[in-house]
Amino acid sequence: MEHYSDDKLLSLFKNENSKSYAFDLIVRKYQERLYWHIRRMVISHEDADDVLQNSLIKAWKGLDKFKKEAQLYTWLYRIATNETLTFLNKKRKHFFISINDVERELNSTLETSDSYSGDEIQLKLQQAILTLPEKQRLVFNMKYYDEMKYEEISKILNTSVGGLKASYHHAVKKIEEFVKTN
Amino acid sequence: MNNNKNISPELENEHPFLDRVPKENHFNVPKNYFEVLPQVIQTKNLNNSKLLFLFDKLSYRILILVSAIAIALFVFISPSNTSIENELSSDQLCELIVDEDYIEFDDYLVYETYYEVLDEETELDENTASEADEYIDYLLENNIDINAIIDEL
Repeated sequence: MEHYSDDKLLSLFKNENSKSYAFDLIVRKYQERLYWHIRRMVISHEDADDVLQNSLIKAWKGLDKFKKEAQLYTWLYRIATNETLTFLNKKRKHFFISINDVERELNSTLETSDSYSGDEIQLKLQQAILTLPEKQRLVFNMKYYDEMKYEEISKILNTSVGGLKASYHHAVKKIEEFVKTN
Repeated sequence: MNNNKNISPELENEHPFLDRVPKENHFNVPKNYFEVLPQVIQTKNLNNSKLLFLFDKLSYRILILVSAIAIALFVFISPSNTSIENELSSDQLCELIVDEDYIEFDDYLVYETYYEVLDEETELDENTASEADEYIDYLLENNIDINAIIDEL
C-alpha cells in the first residue's frame, strides 16, 4: 500500500476518477486509530464496527466540503467522537436507562465478552475508566492511550486546553481512587 | 501496542497504579477485520452514491410529476367543500329552518340573549312616561293652558 500525505490524498479525492481510490487509502490509513478510539468508548466490537462504519460513511459524504484549515485526522476523529457520543446517547434513550446503567452494561460486556483478554490489573483499569463521565473518558483515552497532545484533543473536542488538563487530572485521580477502594 | 516508556513523568510519581499498568491493548478484533473493512465501506459508499445519483437525476423529476398529478386529482376529484346551505336560495333556506327544525334553539339561551334588551326597552318606556307626567304636573302647577301652547305651535 502506498503511503500518501493527507494533502495528496485530498487532491486525489477531489479528482472524480481517483475519488474512490483516495477514500480507500484514507480508510486504510486511519481505520485502526479511529476503531480503537471508538472501541474504548463502546467496548463491544459489534458496536464499534457500527459506529466506525457510520463515521466513515459520513466522512465520505462530507469530504467534498472539508476545508484544509483542519487536519484530516482531526476532522475524522471529530466525526468518530460525535458518532460515538450519539451512539451512547441513543443507547441510553432507547433503553430508558441512566448513565450509570450504561456504564454497568459496558462493564458487564467487558467482563463477559470473549473479545477482551486483559489480565486482572488491566480489567481493573478498564473498569475504572468506565466509571468516568463520557467526556472525561474521552479525554483520558485520547491522552493516555492515543498519546495525543492537549492542543490536538482541544481541536477535536472543541474544548480549551486548560479544561482538558483539568479533565485529565480529575480522571487520573478518580482511577487511582477506584483502584484503591476496589 | 506497548507505550509504557512514553508515560508522562508526572504520572510516574503521582499515580503509581497507572505507572504499574502496561499500556497494552487487550481488546480482541475478528481476524482480517481491518483488511475487509475498507471494502465494506467502499461498497456502502458506492451504493449510497448510486442511490443519490438516481434520486438526483431521475426520481427527482418523477417525484415532481407524481406530486403535480396528485394535487390535480385532489383539486378535481375530491368531494366539494360547498355545504348544503351554499346551494340553497335564501327562501329555501328559510323554509328549511322553519319546516325541518334545521336550527335548534335553546330556549334558555334565547331568554338570556334577549333578557337585557327587553329590560332596557322597559326601562326606557318607564322613563318616557314619568317625564310626561312631570311636564303635565309643571303645567298644572303654573296654571298654563296646554291648548294655548298647542295653538302657538
